[in-house]
Amino acid sequence: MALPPQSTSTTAPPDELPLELLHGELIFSGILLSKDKEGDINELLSKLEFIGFSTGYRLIERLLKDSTRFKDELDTIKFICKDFWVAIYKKQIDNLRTNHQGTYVLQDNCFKLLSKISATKQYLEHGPKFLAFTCGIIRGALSNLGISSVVVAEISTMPTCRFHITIQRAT
Amino acid sequence: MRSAVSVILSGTAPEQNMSYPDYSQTPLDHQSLLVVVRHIGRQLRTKQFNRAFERISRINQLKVFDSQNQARHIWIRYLRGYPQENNDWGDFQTHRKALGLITVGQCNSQDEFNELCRIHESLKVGYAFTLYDSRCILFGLNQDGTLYEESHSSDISPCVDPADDGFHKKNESNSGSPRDSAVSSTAMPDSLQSCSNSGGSSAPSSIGGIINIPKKSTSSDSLQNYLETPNEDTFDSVSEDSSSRSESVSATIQYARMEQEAGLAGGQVNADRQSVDKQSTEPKSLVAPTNFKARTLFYPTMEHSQTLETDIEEFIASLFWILESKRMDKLGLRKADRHLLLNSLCAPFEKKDFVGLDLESKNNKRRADGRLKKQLGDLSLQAGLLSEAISHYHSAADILKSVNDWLWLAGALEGMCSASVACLYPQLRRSPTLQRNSSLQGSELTKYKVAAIGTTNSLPPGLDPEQIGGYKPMIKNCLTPAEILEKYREAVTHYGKYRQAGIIETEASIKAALVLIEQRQTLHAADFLQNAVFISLQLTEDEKMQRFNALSELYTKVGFHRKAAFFKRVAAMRCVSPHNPHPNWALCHSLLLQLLEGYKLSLNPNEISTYNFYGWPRLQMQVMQELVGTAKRKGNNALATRHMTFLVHAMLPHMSRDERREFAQQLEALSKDAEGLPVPLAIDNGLIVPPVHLQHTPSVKVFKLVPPTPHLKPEKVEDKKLEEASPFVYTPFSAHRDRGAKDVTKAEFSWVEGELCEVNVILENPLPIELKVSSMCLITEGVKFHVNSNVISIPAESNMFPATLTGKPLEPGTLRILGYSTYTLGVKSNIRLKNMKNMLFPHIDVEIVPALPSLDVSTSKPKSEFFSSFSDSVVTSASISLLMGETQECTVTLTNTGKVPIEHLEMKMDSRLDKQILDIFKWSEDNIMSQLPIQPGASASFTVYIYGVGDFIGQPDNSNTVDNSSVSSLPVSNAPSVDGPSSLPSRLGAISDRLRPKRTESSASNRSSVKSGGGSSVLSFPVRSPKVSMASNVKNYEAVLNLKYSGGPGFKTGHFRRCGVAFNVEVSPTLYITKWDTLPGESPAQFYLVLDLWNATDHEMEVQYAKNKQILVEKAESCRIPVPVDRCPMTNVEKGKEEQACCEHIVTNVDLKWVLPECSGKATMQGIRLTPPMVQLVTVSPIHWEITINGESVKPEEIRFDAGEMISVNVWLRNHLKEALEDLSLSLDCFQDYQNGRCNYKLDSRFAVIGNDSVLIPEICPGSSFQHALSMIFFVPGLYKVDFKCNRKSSEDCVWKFNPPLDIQIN
Amino acid sequence: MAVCVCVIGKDNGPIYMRSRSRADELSQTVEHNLSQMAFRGVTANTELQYNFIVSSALDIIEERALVGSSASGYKGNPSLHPSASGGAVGSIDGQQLATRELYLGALTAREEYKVYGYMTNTKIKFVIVIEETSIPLRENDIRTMFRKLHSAFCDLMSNPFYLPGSSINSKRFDAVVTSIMSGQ
Repeated sequence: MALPPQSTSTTAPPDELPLELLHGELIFSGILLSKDKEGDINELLSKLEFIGFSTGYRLIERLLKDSTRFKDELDTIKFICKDFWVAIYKKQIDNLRTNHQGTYVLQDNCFKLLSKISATKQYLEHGPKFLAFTCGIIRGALSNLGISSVVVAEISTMPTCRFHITIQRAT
Repeated sequence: MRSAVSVILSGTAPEQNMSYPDYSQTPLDHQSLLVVVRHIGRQLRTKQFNRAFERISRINQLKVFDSQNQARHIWIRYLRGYPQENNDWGDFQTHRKALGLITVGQCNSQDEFNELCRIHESLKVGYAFTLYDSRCILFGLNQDGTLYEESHSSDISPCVDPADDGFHKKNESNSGSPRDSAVSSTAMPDSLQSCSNSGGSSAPSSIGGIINIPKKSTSSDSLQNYLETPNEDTFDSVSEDSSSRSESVSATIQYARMEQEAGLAGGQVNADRQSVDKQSTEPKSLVAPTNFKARTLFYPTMEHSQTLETDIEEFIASLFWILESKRMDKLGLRKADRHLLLNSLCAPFEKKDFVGLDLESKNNKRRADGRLKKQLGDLSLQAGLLSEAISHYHSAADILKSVNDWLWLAGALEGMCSASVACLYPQLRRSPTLQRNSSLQGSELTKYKVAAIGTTNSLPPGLDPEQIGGYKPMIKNCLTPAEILEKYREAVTHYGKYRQAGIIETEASIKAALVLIEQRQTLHAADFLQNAVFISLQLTEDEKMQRFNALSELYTKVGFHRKAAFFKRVAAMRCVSPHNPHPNWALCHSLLLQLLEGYKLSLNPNEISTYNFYGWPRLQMQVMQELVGTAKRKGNNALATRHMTFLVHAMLPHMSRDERREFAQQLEALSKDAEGLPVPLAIDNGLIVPPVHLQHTPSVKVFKLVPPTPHLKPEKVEDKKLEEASPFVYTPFSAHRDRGAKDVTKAEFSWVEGELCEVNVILENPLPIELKVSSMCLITEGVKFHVNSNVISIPAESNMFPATLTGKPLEPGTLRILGYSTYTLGVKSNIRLKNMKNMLFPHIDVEIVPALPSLDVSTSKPKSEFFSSFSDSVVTSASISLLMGETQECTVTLTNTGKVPIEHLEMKMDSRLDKQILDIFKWSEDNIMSQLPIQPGASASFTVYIYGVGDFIGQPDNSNTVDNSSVSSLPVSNAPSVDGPSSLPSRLGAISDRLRPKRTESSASNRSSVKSGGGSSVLSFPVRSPKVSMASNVKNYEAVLNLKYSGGPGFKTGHFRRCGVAFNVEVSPTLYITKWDTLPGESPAQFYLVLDLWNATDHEMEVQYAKNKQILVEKAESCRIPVPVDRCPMTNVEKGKEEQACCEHIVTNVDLKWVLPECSGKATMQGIRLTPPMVQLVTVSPIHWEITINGESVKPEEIRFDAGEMISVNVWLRNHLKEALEDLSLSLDCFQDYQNGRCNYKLDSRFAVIGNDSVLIPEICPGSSFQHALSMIFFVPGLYKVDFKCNRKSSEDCVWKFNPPLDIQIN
Repeated sequence: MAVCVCVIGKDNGPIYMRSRSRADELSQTVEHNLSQMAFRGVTANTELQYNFIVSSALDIIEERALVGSSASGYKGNPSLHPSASGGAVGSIDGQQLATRELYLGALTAREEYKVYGYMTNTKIKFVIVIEETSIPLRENDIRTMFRKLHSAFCDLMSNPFYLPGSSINSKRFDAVVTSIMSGQ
């Protein structure tokens, strides 16, 4: 379903720059500069993803302090798309789709962490690196809510990106 | 009276103690008739009784057809005992009345029979006011009442008299076939009548209905008479006194009893008839005592009682009819008379209030009316008329509410609920077969709850589709689930207003809870239970215990396992509370065991670890402690220890420091009485407590097998051929290696039979006290393995405590190490690797190879303090220091310290250095081999000869630099002998010489070799202080003598061991040949090798350089010696190889012996290089000169002539070589030598030559010679020299001179 | 007056337990311990007792949470007073809303104390045992207590040194709990 797009989504007030800059630095000097073999970079990325995980895990605790209990899974995901996303990226997810079988696709048309990088193909191959952290955040938030999931992200054209959340049903 | 006393005597009767709630009650019990079944007499064994009870209670439902020929479903509830007080509540709730009594007994004699009858009677007295009818079932008698003997059991068993048969058919085929119903209706003619006149029936008619009973009763008497000796008056009197006894009981009961007997007559008569007939024929049939008026049912044995069921059904039917009739009567009562019943319509505790109550008051009338309605409701509910019951209840409720009769209102409400429940949840009825077993119910209900959880978005609880479908059609104004909940609430609250109604309230709450569980409204259920908990009842500890236990089971049903566990525990505490006169520890213990699950505990240590979470540690610890305590108190020390062990093992992570100490000490104390053994314990209640192993005290951090030390490591001979043949051929060795790669459980090394094997462990002691492990050893399987247990004591809270577990394999094969066992805190535990968290594999296999000898090696030389051990199997070392060229001996002694002889021995000298080593060490193999085998304890020895090699040629300190580098890469010996530069022209060498000091810092081998070139050059002079060089000249050689040995069984399987002796040889320089040159010798056959010797030692040195030629060289001095050497015959030396040939010639022919005060040695010329001119001198020249002057062959001294005198010279050249010499030119030069290094060749005016002063010689064939003659005349006196030389045209390089030149003195 | 505050983790194991009464130290011998445990009745007011109370309260928390999530019927008021019960039945839908909030209300009521429950979205449960005193606490007071507790917990979660799910030993958290128990 489509969520009402936020008017303030494109223009970035300065107060959110720090996150972007920090994150950018993390990626650039933390990962890209480590001129090592592919395996090493993946390792670093997964570390970053885990950092995201625990960040989300702890963050959700606070964000949900005053909200009521969720009705169901979809309710939770919606929260991620709205309040949660706003809390981090000052905008909502632009589009949420689901197959009602535990797969959700969150689309952000102007993902903050990519918005400053490029609108062209210039750095496209680096794009994914900038999503690992956020994937972790989502996964962490959900897992603290008792939903274990796998989150993967894809970039079609910068700075648009999609997060695919696949819920792992306890079998 | 006696009977009553006898009741007391009969003991088991619970009537005596105060009444308590019946926790097993369900709402549906409102609808059932209560029948008490009692075990009487001692002959009947309890097991038998239970079987009987089982059979009876199977008949818990009966379908009867009433007067309108409608099917009525009658439910029966059987109880083994029923407290009279509860019975007294029967008027309040009729289902509490014990309507029937069945006694079961066995008798084998008349007086036993009498006794049983008496007991039966006395029991009847107990329920006198409520009892409708009773039966006395006696085993051991035939149908006819005669004693039963085993002998004719056979003919009895088939005997089934038709009447019973008929009954049988009828009752079991109650499925409503018209014939049967007909029978049943005809069976009750007058009850039909009484029934026919409905609600508004007038008293007379109904009386009439009863009136005509006596007439019937005669028949009933008569049939009694068949049983007993007919005696009217006794009977009457009894009936009278019984009636007189029951003053308050309405007469109807009296009648009812008769009536019922009458009613049954129809069915029973003929049976009795037959029994009569039998009786008449059988003399010895038992006779019941005169006052016995109960129906007796005789059965030979449990097996021969096919008719039991039918008889019971008949009995039930009778009960029903009485009930029905009573209902009718109540129904038929005139409004006017109702209030009269008020006395009978009251709860026990109300009675006193009602004394002298104004029955006429309107209020009381209404009250009575309401109560009656209520009771009617009860009755019709029991009589199987649900809808009527409900309507009665409704009206009752309305009336009672209006008169504030709360108690009865509550009753009505509860009734209403039960009725509705009967409609909605018939499945609530417990099956008679299911015995009340908490665990079972727990499990089944948890399943249930899970299901409930599973259906998340279903209809609200209690509105499950099937239920909706269930009750809608059935009955009007039946309550909805929600209403039921409400009514129950209301009822319970009303009950709550009466202290005396506590039990009722409790039961109501429980029933409500059951219903709500059925509705899956667990929270409500919990509320009701909660409420039940707080109702204060006067109960004994024992009853309290039962109460809490019951609650706990109910909570389990609700699915509240923690609460259930909580109450279980409270119940358990009750068993042993100090107020309890006789505490029951065993019971307490078993109760505690039941609650473990609720707290996520399991006595199986393996399970505890598998729980995804550990529950509530604090509570678990508490419970475990209590278990320990109770186990101890009930005297099962082993069990106490086991529990304590478990506590320490499983709860350790959650314990505080103090707790750890505390529990550890407790465990130690407990295990003093009963040590903990690793075996399952069986508790008296059949439970098996699995063994607990103390895995954490101490816990093993590292568990590592120790490979044998390198020199003892057994190795397998690798079968080269096999491996090369094809990689697919199996060879144990390679196979082993492969497996080693794949599975880690196989150790890469192997141990040796009969030798000590070690496993290193690192232990952690989590306890704040010192932990004494009185025995710790390995657990193994496979080959025989003798383990040594060792005592360890680990300081408090040390987490890195190393220890070693040892053992001896007693046979070859594969040893599997499974784990280790400890005995600590008085507990013996076996810990398996597979249970250890940090272990990767479940076990470790080690190969045990057959016994091998072990070798101890010693040498006669001192051990060297350091050697670079490039072979780790080195066991000892010898350091030898000798001088260049010296030779020493070293004796090596081999001792067999093993248990098997050394049969096989191989020796090899290995070194990082090159083959030069072979020059250093020498020994004789055969000598050693001859000494084999070396028996255990014996020893063998042999000698190694060590020669101090060194380069005498060249510069000490360049060899020194080489020496340094030799350690790194380049072998020493290469240095001097390296390539080209040696053949460099001398000046260059000199230059390089001067440059040396700068270069030595960077001692790269190639540079050093350059210098060595310089060194070996002719004209170089040493630029260095000998002192410095002295120190730096010592060379070290390291070599290891590797011994490969084997013997005994190990040898046969191709195993061996290796050990090594490290030799550390240091060679200090003696003398150096710094410069050398060649000079022509006295004879052309000889030449002088002129050497500059430099004494590098700090002693005076004598050098013998030729036979009886020696010279003393001061220390650090050099001196020059001429060594006469025969020339090197250049025979069969191909071109270009001359120099090499010459060097070899010199090396072999020159030998210098040096002698120092204490030792002596030889110096070799190895490595000497020669420049072409030298080679010339060394070699015998191919051309042999022969010159005559005036026919005389020349002498070396000068020849005198006068000026102008003609001198004729003849020159012969002979060719020594194999091949011909071609294109030679012979020429002579005449010159004057001014002795100042200048020669004057311009002598044209001073002499003349007659003939050619130079000729070309085309060729001189081998062996042949060429002659040239000429004459010369000198004109001026003086000293002239004449030089003949001959050279090849082709190459200028080789020139042969005749030397010395001729000296000619002209005067 | 709050006498016991307990935090229970996702897996229903306690991660924080604090009660007014001094912790009952371990008894010296099994026998002694035994007499002690026999003495401990239903109302023995020891720290252990609170453990028992809270743990059994968990049952109800779970149940309510379940009911709440499975959007069905009951959140009620444990007292069996007719009026209250009437309310319970009448206001089923209203109660559904009630479960959506984190505060679970009173779990069990006894003469001497009441047990209140609260569950965060992340399945962390807070339980507070209130001693019944002359001045009964108002529902709102309880709510504020829980809210304080919850925000304290959030702060704790934001502390990188606290490993989520591990037992809590944070001075800061302690302080908050103390303030709650001392009743301001």
